[in-house]
Amino acid sequence: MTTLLPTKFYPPPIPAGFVARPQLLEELDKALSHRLTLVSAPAGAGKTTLVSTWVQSARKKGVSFGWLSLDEADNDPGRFLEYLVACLEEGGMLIDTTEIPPGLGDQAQVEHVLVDFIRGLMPLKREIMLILDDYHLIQNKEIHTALEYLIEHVPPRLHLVILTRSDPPLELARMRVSGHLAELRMENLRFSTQEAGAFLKKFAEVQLTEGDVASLNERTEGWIAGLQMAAISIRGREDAAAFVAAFTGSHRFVFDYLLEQVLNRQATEVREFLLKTSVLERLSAPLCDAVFETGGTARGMLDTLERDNLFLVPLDEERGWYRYHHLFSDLLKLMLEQTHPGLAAELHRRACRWYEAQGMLPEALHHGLAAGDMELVTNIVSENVLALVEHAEIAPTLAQIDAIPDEQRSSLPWLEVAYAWGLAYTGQNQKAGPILSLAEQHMEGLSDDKREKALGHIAAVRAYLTWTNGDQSEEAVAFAEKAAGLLPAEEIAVRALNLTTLGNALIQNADDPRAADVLEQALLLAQQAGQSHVVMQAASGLAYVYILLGKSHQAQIVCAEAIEIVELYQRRNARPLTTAASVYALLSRVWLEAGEFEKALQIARKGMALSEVWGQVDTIMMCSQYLAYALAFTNQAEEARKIIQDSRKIAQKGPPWHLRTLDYVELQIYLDSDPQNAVEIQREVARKQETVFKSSPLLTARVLIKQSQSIEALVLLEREQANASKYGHYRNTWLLILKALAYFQQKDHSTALSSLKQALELAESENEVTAFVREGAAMEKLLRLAQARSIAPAFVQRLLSAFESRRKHKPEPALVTEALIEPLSERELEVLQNLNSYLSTPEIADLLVVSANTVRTHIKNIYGKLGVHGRSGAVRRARELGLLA
Amino acid sequence: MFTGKIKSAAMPEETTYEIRVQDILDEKWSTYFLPFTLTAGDDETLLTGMPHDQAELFGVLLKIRDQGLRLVSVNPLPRD
Repeated sequence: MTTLLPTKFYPPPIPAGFVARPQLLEELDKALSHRLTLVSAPAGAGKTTLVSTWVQSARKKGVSFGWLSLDEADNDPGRFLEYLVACLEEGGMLIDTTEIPPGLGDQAQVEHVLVDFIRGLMPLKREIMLILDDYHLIQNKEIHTALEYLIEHVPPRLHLVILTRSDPPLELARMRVSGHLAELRMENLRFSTQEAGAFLKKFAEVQLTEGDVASLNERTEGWIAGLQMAAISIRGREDAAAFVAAFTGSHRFVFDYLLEQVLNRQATEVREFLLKTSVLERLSAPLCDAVFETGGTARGMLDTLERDNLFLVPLDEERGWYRYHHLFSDLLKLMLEQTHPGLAAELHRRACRWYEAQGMLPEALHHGLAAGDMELVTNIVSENVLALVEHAEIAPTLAQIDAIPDEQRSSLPWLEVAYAWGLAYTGQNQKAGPILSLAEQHMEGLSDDKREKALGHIAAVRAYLTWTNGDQSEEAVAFAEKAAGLLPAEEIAVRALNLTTLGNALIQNADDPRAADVLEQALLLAQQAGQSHVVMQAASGLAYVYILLGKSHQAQIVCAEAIEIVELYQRRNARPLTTAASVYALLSRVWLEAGEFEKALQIARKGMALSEVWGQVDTIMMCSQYLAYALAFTNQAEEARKIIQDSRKIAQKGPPWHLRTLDYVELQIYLDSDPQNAVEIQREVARKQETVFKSSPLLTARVLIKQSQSIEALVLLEREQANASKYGHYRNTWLLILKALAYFQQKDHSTALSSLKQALELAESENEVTAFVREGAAMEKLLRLAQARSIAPAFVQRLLSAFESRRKHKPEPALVTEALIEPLSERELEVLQNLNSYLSTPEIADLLVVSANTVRTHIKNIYGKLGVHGRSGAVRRARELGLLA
Repeated sequence: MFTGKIKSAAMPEETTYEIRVQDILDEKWSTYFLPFTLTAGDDETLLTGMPHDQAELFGVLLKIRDQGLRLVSVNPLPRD
């Protein structure tokens, strides 16, 4: 799930004093009896205003609607569908749909999601309008096909409205013939002479002759934007007739002519403001002050311009951000170039610096690139490499860097380094390798110290890539050590990250004690660096090695301290800290080992949701593992399998290690269900990759024991015993448990009990219940024997009780009545009550007397705490928890 | 309007296109439609250029749409 921009669901407000055109509103009412209503007309024809007005009146009649303002980035089918669902939810609808998997690719997948979506919409009790604005920006064939599918199978109460500048490539002719299509085109939107007269009277504030009105309307062809510009140009003129004569007499492109007129009528300052801020994609008062460079006047300018209702479109209710109406941005830029040749680059540079100071790095990068100032771009990138891949999502930054033409990118090794980090984080190991080699080749231009720094980064990325490859732990260690040698002292964040990689590679190498040392250092360093994801990675790495060393207590402390940081961040920034996902995952593991399965599940869900937003692949993998385990241990094996299936799709695009890990997890979960059927077991085993068994002798031994091949198992286990000195606590305990079971199978009770006793001794102090409980009936029998011989009586009793309570647990799905670890606040509860109505987000805001953005923040937090993705999920979960009736 | 299939293959031989729009554009537009250059007529503007491929050609046509210009014709020039 990407972070959804609330501005896309916000229908632009209706300009004050707007001239209503009742006959057009009546035409739009027809939308309620058609599957698709197409509003197809050029820019500035008044489509958005018209539909927006209609929506307000329809709402009063009890029609629900979802508004989605599209942009170029929505050409990705997965994102498009996500936004589709979200915009309907924003409009008050509950859609019971499965979560859209990231990286939605082929047609079949898209259809699958749509079938789900349509089914989720079936029980509609209200008419729903789904409005897509600026559909001409969508050029992706899969999306067109998806939309056609939707229109074909649309439930009777759902109606689509598409606003576009040119007819979309859908089967419109067929829809016309079947009567499914209603249309409004330029011929409908065009102002009649009468309407033009009324409009001009109101806005030009001057009485024009009928002849002049007719001429104006003819010259502009009833184009409302043109009439508006003409009105502004006429205002306050003594000789309106002269203007009309000149205008109608000119052959120049109407838009060009009129915009020039409008600009000439503005005060110099306003005109300059318009021209200079045209380089911005979005405008806010502080940003405009920075670009325009006359301190503090921007707020006043924006208010003035908004009042005129021509140029600016507000992006939110708070009037914090605006954008230029699409119609004007290009022409204003051309005019800027004409009046101030070459200034644009400098303006972009100012915007770039402002965004960098705010820490809004993707935007800074955008403007730096637009300025063509590669030195500036390089500085931003080299100072902020990790921050660039940390903020919100990695994907957009990666896309930006990807868009830089190869020749330019290769002259700037820092861009390549940043690009490589982004690729590594998103699991694109194959691509990252060659980029790093390229970066190494391009080092000449750099000064000595910059070169060392860059080479240090390169070694650090290599270390990370090698680690995630999964079976090159020694190389990973080597690279990490090399990086440590090269990275200068002040590169604290990267050094911390590198130490974390070193620690993780050492764990992979089964060198747990040294790993713990390294990770402790990493965490200390990371805390100095102040970059959240580095702290989170170090903390989760350290927690992991503590668990392996049998220090779950300390693992818990590390996680708890990290989570404190998370909560502080979230309070301050009113949004979730996605990079904390790995810490939640590790905490969930701590609870798993202690047998606290419900707690583990809640935390795992939370981690999973966060990891998907951040998008770093190895974190997603880690979170899905622990979620799968938690689900399996709470008797939701089907769900667990599903999580693994979904994760496989992501894993397929990354290094092979991830697929192997998923196989491993799936097999463990299967064995945890205590299967008895030999044929079935063999089938399950045969489906797994060879490498899973090669890389985990203990898992192999476990399988052998389940297959009643205790002799082979013991051979393997004895061999591993020789390695036991390298093994940390965790693996040793497991080794002893397996030995105990194998000997038990051989009916050698005394050796079995001797091994078991050792295992119990290791596990007792940290209360590691799960390691025993998961081994099923055989272990239970063995424990009863141990009880009879009074071996570790207290712990054995606890274990046997755990077996009991697992049996009592209802099969599926468990009715969850636990309290939330993070309870909802009163405000959040209020919002939650209202999610189960047809109230749209703005309506809830009105009800609670707060801003819509406040409500959205509450909703985001509610989803996070409940571990869900949408309204219907939240309602369902809330009912399960007894928070809603 | 442009619901045709866009093949992004490069042109077999480089083709020069002439696009006519029914509006008169002045010099400030001169770089906006590159690789097409503008020649203003009495009541039309002529855009002449050699796009690299169909995709680039359609990119220019979309710009024409977005500015609200009125398209008159699109013709390849005979090669000589």
